[in-house]
Amino acid sequence: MSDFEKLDQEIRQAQADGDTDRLMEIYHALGLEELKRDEEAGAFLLVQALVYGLEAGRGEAEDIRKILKSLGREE
Amino acid sequence: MSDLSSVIQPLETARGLPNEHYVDQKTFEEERDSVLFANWSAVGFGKDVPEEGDAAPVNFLGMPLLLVRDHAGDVRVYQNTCRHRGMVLVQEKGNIRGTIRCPYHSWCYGLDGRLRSTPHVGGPGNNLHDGIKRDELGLIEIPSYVFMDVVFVNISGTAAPFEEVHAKLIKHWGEFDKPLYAKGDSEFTLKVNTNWKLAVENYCESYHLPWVHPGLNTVSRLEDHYHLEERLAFSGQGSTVFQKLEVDGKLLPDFDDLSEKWDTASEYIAVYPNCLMGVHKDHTFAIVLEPKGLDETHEHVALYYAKPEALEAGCDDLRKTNSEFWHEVFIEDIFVVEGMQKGRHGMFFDGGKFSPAMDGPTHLFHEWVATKINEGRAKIAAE
Repeated sequence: MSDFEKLDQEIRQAQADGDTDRLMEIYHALGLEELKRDEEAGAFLLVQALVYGLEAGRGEAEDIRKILKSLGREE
Repeated sequence: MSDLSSVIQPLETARGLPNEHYVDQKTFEEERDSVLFANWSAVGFGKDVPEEGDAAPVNFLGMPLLLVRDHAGDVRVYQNTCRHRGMVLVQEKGNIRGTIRCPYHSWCYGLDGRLRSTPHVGGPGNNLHDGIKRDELGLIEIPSYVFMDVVFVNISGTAAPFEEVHAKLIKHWGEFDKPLYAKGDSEFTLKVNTNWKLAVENYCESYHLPWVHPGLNTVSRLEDHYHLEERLAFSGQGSTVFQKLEVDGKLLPDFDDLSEKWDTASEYIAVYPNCLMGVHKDHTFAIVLEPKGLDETHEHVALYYAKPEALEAGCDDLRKTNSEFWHEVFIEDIFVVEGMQKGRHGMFFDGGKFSPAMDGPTHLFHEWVATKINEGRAKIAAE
């Protein structure tokens, strides 16, 4: 199984479990990594992370919001 | 359109609401708007959302509502509909840890109703767009008020404040305006094939007690009852011979600082339009009448106690006995309210003749409903 397939499976499983904490963690890590290479792709992932972070009431959501705001992509 | 002229008359000469108000779908819809949506209707209980972040969806006559316990500990009621594509937001009771996320495109709302984020609204990875003004797109809040743990809403938003509309009731039962304590073993729902108003009408009067509740009559005779009548406000009945429940020598704890009257009194009031409440020195109850249709009503009954000790294991038997007692009483009423519903199909029934001595509280309810319907008709006529 490729890394991509593993990741896809992990996201699907977290979604099936309604595990918003895990979803935020996955997208957060991916987003920060991707941001180094491609702002648009990284921002997309961080938006996903923000949504799940907000839903889960996680403190990291504020950090993610600040990053997106600095990119002009969030209030 | 029904003729209500005979309803808004003095008790001695009035007739009850015409048959259409029980058997005609169009009239039911008129009442939905003019009586239930335009006034303060009961839609649930504070105990349904006890903790911060708790959310409970309620479908009230087709209107999707969301009861939420906010960060300040207050109950708030929102239209349970996303401002984006109209998706229903919450479909199952649960706890919102952070924001309310629409399951469709994930617009996020705070417990205060504010729109917190609009993911990808300006394109992938961009949560902003000039055309999306978040401060204009929060959840629609429905005016609400919690009285004795019952959540009342005014869906139209046109009624005067609850404290003003029900000032007399709040004053009358001011001694019971205290924390109430509920437990899951002291609540039940009865599904009844009747129009919701018939449950109110039956509750208002004590006339039926000797015939329908013979057990009740052994502890509280008809002559021990008195009417509670506040025209265009509320009505009901009281008893002067309330006796506390005792099980194996144990008693439920009483409310603090009640006046002497409550040593022997109990009262039962219909909070118009659709809430029935009762108070005693050691417990209260509330019945939220949920109209499911023209001739179908769910009666959600919740019993409340005066002190936290009443919820402890030492009072389990007392609560169980008390809950069973009220369950039996309310079950005894079912054949009556269902029978009146059937009787309303009698095409020659004229709304009924009230007993001037015994039916005053019921007449007041009819008069209030007719008044509200007339107000609704006048408003439509003026538009």
